[in-house]
Amino acid sequence: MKSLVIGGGPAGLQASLDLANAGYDVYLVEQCFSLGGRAVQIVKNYPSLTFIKDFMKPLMDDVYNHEKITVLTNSEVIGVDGEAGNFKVKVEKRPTYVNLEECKDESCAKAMDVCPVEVPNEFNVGLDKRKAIFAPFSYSVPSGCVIDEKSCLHFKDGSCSKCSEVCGGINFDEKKETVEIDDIGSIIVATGFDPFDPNLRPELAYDKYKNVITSLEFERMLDENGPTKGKIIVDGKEPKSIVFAHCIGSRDKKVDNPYCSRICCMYTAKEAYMAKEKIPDATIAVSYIDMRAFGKGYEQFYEEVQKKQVLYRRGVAAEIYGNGDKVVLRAEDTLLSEPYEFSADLIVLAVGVEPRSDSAKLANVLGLQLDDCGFFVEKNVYDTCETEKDGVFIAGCCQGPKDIPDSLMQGSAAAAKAIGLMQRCNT
Amino acid sequence: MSLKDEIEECGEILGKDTVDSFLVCMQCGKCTGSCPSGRITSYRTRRIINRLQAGDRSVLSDPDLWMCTTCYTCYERCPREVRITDIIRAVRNIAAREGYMSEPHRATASFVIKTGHGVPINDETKKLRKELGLPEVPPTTHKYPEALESIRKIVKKTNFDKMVGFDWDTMSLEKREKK
Amino acid sequence: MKEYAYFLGCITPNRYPGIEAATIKVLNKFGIETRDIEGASCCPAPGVFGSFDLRTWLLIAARNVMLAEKKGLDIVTTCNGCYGSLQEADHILKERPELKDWVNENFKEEGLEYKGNIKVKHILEVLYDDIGINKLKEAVVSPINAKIGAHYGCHFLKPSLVRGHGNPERPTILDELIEATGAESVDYKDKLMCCGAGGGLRAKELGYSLTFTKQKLANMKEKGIEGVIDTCAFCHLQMDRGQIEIKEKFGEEYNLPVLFITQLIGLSLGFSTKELGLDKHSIPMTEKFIR
Repeated sequence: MKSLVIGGGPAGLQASLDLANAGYDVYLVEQCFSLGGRAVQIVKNYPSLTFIKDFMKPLMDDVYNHEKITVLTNSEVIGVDGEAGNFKVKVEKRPTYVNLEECKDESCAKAMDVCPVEVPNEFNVGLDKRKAIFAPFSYSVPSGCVIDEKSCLHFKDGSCSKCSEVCGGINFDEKKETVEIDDIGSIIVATGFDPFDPNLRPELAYDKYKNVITSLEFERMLDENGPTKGKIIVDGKEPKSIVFAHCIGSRDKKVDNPYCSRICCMYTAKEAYMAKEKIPDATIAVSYIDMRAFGKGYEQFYEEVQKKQVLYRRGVAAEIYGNGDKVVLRAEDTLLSEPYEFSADLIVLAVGVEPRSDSAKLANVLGLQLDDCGFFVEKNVYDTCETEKDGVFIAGCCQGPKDIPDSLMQGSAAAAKAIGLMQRCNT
Repeated sequence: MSLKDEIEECGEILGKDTVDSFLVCMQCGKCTGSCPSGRITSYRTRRIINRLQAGDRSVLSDPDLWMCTTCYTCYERCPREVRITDIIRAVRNIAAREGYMSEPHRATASFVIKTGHGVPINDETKKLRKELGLPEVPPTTHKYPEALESIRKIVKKTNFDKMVGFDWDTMSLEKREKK
Repeated sequence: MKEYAYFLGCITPNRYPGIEAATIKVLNKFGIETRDIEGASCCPAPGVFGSFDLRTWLLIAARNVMLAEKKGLDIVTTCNGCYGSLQEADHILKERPELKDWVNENFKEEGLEYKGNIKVKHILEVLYDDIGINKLKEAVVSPINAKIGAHYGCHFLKPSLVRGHGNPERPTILDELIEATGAESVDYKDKLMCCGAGGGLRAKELGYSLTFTKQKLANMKEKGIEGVIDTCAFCHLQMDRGQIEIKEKFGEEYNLPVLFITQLIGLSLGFSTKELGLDKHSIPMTEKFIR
């Protein structure tokens, strides 16, 4: 009996590995070109400040190279039939137009070099450009190049095939295929989340000013391998004053996100800490509603951030306006009951976690329910892995916002549940 | 009756769910931070809501209650969808009933009772109207005495005249001690 | 031929009849007729009367709506306050049958009945939806060449839940109408901020109220704005006469001409400054607005 895992982020990777190590054959279906999910966009974890790559890269490799795991990237589950213990699954596998086995050492670099197309790089949330043939990120798994047919000129009008002249692995004739997998005993859904779009709060003027950015954009600037080589640079300059604004798109009924996103308090603390390390003379403030540092070691980390002279000021960001090169955040200091303005070189919006925009589609394929917010519904509050649908489990942010350690844990828990179910089916 | 009950009673027009939404305020300060009055006056929107949550009746006599221009910015932005401006209007209704209506506001109210207009016409405007080719007196309660009677009937029915302290014999406001 | 019942309110007919004259002239030019609502009263102001006594507010507002309904005509207003009161009252009566019954009970002997068959519209909606930007542009004979500060006021857009004109943070309707006359609508700090007059603040705390206005005018001046265009008679009073009061109270002068949107459009259609009552404003018109 085999097992299907949908989503190759921390929860899906951990679930796949646990299932495989228990002796089950696993199919891991990932929508993107690489494994890793959104975690790989993050540089360091909190509260340990260790590099996420040092954890994620081995995990991705272990999964990819595991003899019992079949990884299908750039793929999507399009049909599920049957029942617990015996699902039949249809997966659409889209072409990458690059046969990695044919690729020679330098051919990827050469192909990217000759490609004339430049589009915003999704991985770096648009902070830099990538080519139509590109490596998703520095440690993507599988490694090597892929062609994005939406931007490639060959697929637009046939006017270009330059990459194929320098790389033998290119195959424009590759077609999408449907993979059918039988004898699937259990399915684990770990499809993750979308970050909140701050344009839904127009008073924060995210679309109006270059120096109002999201926490994910800021995170990419902290990466030594990122678009700014690890430098915090906005509009060509290093900011000397930064405000981080909590709860953007979280605890906000106005944008249909009435829940706490759970991760923003702590990732902001970490980003503020790293900002202070990179620009020691910067003035850094955080506007917050309530500080939620509930994990092990989190409160102590919050203290460490305060020791760095990061000023925590209670009161949510009310609105933002531009003043010359500066952006000004208006808020009330709710402890002093005083409205104030903070004029900064940079404002970082701590955007919250949202259900994926395509989760309704997948819910439909799997026969799962979505809650009022759009997350998958767990069986009950005491069992957050099982669903109303026997044999289908959920893990990670698709069930509700959570950080990487919690996602890994739920991935393992879902795997244990799936193993239990498949054992029962076998006997 | 508790302040909450009184506010909910005012919800007969605006809706109970609207006016008792102050209960779910999480004190984030979005309202005060967005408030143009708060940048100029001592009005602190969030504090008013906080005091309502605590059942603090001193809100009713606090002049800050009247510093809101009803611009609805807080109402639009509140992440808990607290209908702040409507709550302010409801609480002001209670304050007015308890006699905390300022003299200028009583005067405005008395103009409507006397003329049907909060801002009645004057000779200068009559002249200007004529110059512009408009009827000297607009076709409102200014022109139709029976229409004015209709307005007066309403304010008597709702006891608005008594609340404001309008004396029908002298057609002017009763003297009131400053509260 | 489209007809509207023109709800005048207080400030328009009793302080700034130029707004009334301009509105009638502009609408007539495009084949839209306005009819009197005989015996209409104060709307009454949503933030003022609504703050005093909501029951009285609703009855008086409902009466005004019913007078127009009796004529079978939709209402047009030239004041955000009037629009605010009448539109909100109409909204409440359409949503809440028990209040509709209560209102009807109160007006039975006067022969008035609320049925909910008409719409309450703001002049911006009539200009934008009934006439349209293209028609307005085509009709311009004397384009306005000026940098304009658009002042939306509050109660046309908010509360959006009741008004239904979409997200109130980034409106464009007034800017589009201004630009249709050839003028340039210039962005300025706190563009959507309140003028300071509403909610009874002007009556009770003139100094604070004018401080709002002062900030807005200063923000406009900073961007080189040459004229203020508003959509509300009460804002209009606050921005125009307010400048005289600001001078008296704070010793500051802005000298920014203030025009109601139909007055600006009127100028672009070839009406004279005098015909539109602009020569009687507290702040004299500058060359750019003299025809």
